[in-house]
Amino acid sequence: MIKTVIMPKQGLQMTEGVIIKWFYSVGDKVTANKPLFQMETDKLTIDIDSQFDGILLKIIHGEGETIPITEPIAYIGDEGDNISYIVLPETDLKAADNKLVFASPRAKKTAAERGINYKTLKGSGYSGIIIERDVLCAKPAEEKKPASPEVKRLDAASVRAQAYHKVKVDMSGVSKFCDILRAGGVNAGTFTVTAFAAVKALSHYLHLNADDVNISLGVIMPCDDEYKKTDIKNAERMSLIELSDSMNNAETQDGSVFAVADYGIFSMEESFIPLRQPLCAVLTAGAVSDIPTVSDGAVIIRPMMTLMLTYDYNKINDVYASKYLQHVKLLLENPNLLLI
Amino acid sequence: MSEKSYAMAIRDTMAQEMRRDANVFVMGEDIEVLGGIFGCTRGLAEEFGAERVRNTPISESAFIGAGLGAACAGMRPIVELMYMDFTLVSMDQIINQVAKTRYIFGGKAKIPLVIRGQQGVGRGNAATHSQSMEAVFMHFPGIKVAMPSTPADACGLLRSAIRDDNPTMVIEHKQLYVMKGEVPDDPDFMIPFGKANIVREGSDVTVIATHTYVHKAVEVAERLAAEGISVEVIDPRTLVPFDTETVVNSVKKTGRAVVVHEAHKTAGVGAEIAARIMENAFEYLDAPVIRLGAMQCPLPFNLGLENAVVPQPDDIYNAVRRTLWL
Repeated sequence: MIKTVIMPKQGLQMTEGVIIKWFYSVGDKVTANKPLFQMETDKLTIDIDSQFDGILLKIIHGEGETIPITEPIAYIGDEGDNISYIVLPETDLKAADNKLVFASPRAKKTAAERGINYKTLKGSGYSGIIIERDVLCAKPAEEKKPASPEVKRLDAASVRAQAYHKVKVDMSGVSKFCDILRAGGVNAGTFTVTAFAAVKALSHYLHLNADDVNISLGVIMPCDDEYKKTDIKNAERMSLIELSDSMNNAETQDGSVFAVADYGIFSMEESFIPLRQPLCAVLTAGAVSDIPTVSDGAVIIRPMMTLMLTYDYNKINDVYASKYLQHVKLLLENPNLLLI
Repeated sequence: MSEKSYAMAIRDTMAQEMRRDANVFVMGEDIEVLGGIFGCTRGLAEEFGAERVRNTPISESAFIGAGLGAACAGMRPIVELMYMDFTLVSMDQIINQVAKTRYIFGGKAKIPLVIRGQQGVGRGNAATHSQSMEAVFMHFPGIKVAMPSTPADACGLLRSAIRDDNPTMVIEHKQLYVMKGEVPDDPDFMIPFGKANIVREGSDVTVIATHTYVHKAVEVAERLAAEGISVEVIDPRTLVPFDTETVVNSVKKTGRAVVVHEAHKTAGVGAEIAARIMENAFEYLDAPVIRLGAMQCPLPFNLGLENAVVPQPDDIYNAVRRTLWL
């Protein structure tokens, strides 16, 4: 499998880095947790370890180049892996344009329709002719075009290793808690309380927040026809009321690495969210619905909600992620703990 | 609908047309008492008499010429050839006279002549009685060519041919005469010329086949379906006029085509169809069009060798997979 090496984000302020030295050449064997390249930011010079074992298939950006964070800089894979399926950067496209490449008329037509430069592909027909299925396997070029940072993030996100855990939470305590708040003039719904609990728990599991004690909480909510993410700075310092107000008025985008998502609005039970850069984990709250549950051998109807934690498996240990989710569940089932 | 054989569908259609129109008559070798060697005129002499079911001498050139003359004079003759190979002794009559007369007379002479007969392998009839002749008649303009592959098509195409004011060649296949199928009872049931039949719908590869190969292609398509390959089978039914549109639209959809027939591959009808696909759907093709046909050698007498010379279902199977680069 081909893995992408990206320009890593070293510290919250970093937006780009300079590649100082590659410790390997293309074709060399690389080892996980051994230095792969050296880079420099405006603050430090650091050796970056490879995250993968394998063969260095391609170096996209050479020494001395300044690269924005999350931009792919190299590909690592196994012996015999074919990197032609990955659309190459502009310079390679120019070289490819001058190459004599055989492709079926249909492959050319489909490539043109999809905005793919077929000359960058590897053909699977006899003698390597490019046929339609090679084009259909390739990623459209639009995704790769170095346009907006958002597009770059999408691209990087598509190669991340995602895992998820989910847990059912009894929300009867939170329901009562919300009723009490409403009686006291505070209009906070279950999602606000969930977000509050997520932040509370996060301060014990800061690895999910890139080890930053300052929690910038991403909030993913439907807005018009799409889900939009807004970020709330310093969420860990906020009271429930402040968080509620901020969630209703948030407009900023701060590159938060942790987010909560409200999919309960459309009665979704659970939703698997793709991790977009620079997100490291997303906690998704589903709809609260009355479900028969077993308690002390008796069947009782309870308002239940599914919480799902999607996280970057390359960065977060799965036990760690499970424990965090368990902690949020504990807080929501015992909302009094939120006062501590 | 009645279930009947291909041969009986032909006989019944001729009988119905002879009842409907007194100008329709049949002539050919051994058709009166014997009813033709494949039984396609069996019983017609009893009903219509020797005047309308006429035995001829063994002189194809003479009786095709006689048919042309009768057609010019207002009759609607159906001339049966015992073997399509015998068109070769009457080629001047067919190509120079039958196919040209309407044109030469500025359209004033109608030529409602049907020449019908069987061709092909399957009976070990050897080199001069097993050939496929359709490419010749597709090549020269002025004569329509039908190739029915089922009893219903034999009925519908033959009736269209009899009622057509132009000369028509209805090429039957000796192996198909015993094939049974549902045939509409409607005495006006006709299949228009120039309208291909999509025998089986599919999305990955188009197979264009004629005569017995229509059924072989369907059989192979079922086999390939089990492998997840979806094959569309098209029977053009008539070669002149040829339904280019249906074939091209299918190939635009699938991007791949195999043309299979029993006739020799070299300069065969498959070459014409492949070229039309390329002319009209080049940018849609994902693989070269593959032609399958008999090897460039005379058809052997020995049945085993006969099979070795003409395409087999496995050849179709492999060709379809090759268009998918598998």
